[in-house]
Amino acid sequence: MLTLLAATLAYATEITWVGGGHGSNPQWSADGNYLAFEVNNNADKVDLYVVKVTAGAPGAPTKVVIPGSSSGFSGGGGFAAAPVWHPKQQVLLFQGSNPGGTMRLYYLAATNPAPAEYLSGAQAPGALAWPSISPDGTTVAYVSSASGSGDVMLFSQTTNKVTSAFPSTKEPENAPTFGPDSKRLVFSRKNYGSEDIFTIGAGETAAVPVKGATGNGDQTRPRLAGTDVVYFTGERGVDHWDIGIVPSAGGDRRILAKDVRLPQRAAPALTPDGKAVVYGSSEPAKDGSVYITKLDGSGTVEIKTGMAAVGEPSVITAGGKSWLAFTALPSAGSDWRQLHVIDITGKI
Amino acid sequence: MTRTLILCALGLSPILVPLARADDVSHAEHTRLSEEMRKLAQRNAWTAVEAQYEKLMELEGKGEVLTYQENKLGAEAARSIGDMSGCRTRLLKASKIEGKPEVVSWLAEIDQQYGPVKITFDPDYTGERSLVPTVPPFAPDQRAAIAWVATYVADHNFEGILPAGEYTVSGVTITVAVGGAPAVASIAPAATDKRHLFHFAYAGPRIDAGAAVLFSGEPESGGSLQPGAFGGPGARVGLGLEIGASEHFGVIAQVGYHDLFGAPTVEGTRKDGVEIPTNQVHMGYGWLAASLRFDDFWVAAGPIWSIGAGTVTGVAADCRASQDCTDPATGHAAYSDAAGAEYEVLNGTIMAGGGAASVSYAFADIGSLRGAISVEGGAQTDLSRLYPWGQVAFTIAPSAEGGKKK
Repeated sequence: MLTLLAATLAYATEITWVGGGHGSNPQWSADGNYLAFEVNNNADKVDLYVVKVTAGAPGAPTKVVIPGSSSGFSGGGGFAAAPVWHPKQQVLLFQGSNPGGTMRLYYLAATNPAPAEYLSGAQAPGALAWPSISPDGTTVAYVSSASGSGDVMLFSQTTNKVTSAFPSTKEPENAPTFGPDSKRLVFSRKNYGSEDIFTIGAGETAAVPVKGATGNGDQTRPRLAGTDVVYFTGERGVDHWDIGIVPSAGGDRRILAKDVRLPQRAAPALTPDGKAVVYGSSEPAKDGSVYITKLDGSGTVEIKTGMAAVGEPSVITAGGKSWLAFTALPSAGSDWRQLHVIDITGKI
Repeated sequence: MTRTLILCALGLSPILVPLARADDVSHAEHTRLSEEMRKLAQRNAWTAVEAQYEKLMELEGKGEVLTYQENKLGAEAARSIGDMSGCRTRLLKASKIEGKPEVVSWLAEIDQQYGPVKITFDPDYTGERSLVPTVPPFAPDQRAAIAWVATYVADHNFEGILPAGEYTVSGVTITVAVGGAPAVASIAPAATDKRHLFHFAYAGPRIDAGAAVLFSGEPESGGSLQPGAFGGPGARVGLGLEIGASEHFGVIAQVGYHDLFGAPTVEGTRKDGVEIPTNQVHMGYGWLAASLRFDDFWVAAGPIWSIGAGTVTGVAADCRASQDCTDPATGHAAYSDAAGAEYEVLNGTIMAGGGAASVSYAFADIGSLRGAISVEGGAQTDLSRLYPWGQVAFTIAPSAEGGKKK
């Protein structure tokens, strides 16, 4: 049973863009100066935007146009999503494709709106997705379709080479992320019809299932917080998503939050210190707030927003301030989910 | 006046129509290449995009105007293969067409992240040619740029830009800084490397062949029997050697053949019924020249000496008028009869020295050689008269590509 420690009403600043669409998957840069987010117009494309945020005040978002998809040529249907910021630089990776093209990984410097393909086709053939950068900034993990089923691959900045994280399996893997030590990976794998959590450490030759994060329903989008794995679990059925936590070595699974609003693409959001998970609720009575729950289960902070269907949270602490970005419907009957930023300094 | 213009236009139509067709063909090819480049870019086939852009640049040389998008796509292709100098050049072209923030920001980022560098290997250096960054960068364009230069220096010197940072070049550590003086790595030979006295930047055959014209002015007779002024078209072919002491400077040594087949000085037949022959000159020549090269523009100049024989009709006017000009066969004033002098066929030898120069534009690779179009000319004298000549030639010469890439 969780304890509600505080409930405060905060005032959000809205980030606007031209052309409508649902905002989703906001991700802060490590220094808190930039926010990347997706916009899905429910048509045939997903766009990626980057916006500079100064002391909580957002500028005008810049739409990211991947090479070969410039406006003079493209006919729509492009895809640019899943932004992941470098832990030490103002640069990010994302996955994208031109209309009818192959999904690839792209690199973008926040100060330069011209992204570049991150790995060449010769280096990394096939469709690439789910990029993740190690906390030390030296390794990129991603999923490749080159073998025919999704495999987790590693690109080393030091050697400029791509290697398999482990031997290819016929089951597709998804959503690899690094632990704080940059040596351990967690990811999900389709396993006998459902999705389970697996892990592998540096020097290990085979990935192993994380006991406690397997079994009924889908367990997906894991991330490591210390030695624990935090993930979304659908073990109660497809309409109910919960946030679970389990030791990466396997053990008792605890549910941190029930009936959370499942993000479009993101793993569970953590606070910068990695000690709490941030989420929105799918329960209508509770969906106007963002909740921050300690991983040790010691308490939950509620951030009231005054809006509806709140979700897709992302938190950063920089320059002595803490900022929460999230998407929400401004009011009932609104067309699009908008992106908002709230100062939550002192609340986490 | 109108009729004159129409007639002129009709007269030029055989020329104008092919020109118009050439423009149409170039424009159609431009459209095709642009579309192909777009499709290739959508498939991330950047090496192929680069090839298409290079073809577009050839069309640009024929007058086609590349668009903002084409130059930007060319910049993206250059970046993907690591040619950051090429990327920067294409961005500059795009920004001049349309100064959009995306290219302006991109240019600024290149200038903020890349610095100048000059890497030279002593020609006697025989060790491994390598370029290794101390800390490999995260950005793909920077990794590609380093890989491109690392490949390039395997058999070239390099002067261009690299991502700022520390590098080891064949054991020598340099630091590339943004906006600073070029980081210089001069790789000296090891003590055990064999030293050579001479090194050539390039060396190979130099061939010039084409149509020429040769003229001869009126002689200063000086008492000898000389033909009058003559001239006409012919052919000129030279074969020799061109050696580059550096990328920009070299020498040419060439021997060749130069002829003239001019119309007869006077038409018709002589009094004795002999038909007047065409004027002819056949000469061999030797040319020694200094050569300067500026990428695809070449200039050469130097002394030339020729020897040959000629058959020309008509005695020089000065000779006819001079009491000193005598027929060597008779010892008498030769041509008091002006009509006879005009029809006299003279045979003789020519030895003439002077200077020759050429200007060339190289436009094609022929294996390890370059093909160029040249305009050559010179003036020679046999101390009796001046022989100016000119030529349009196709030239084959050794390539001096070392250091062309940046």
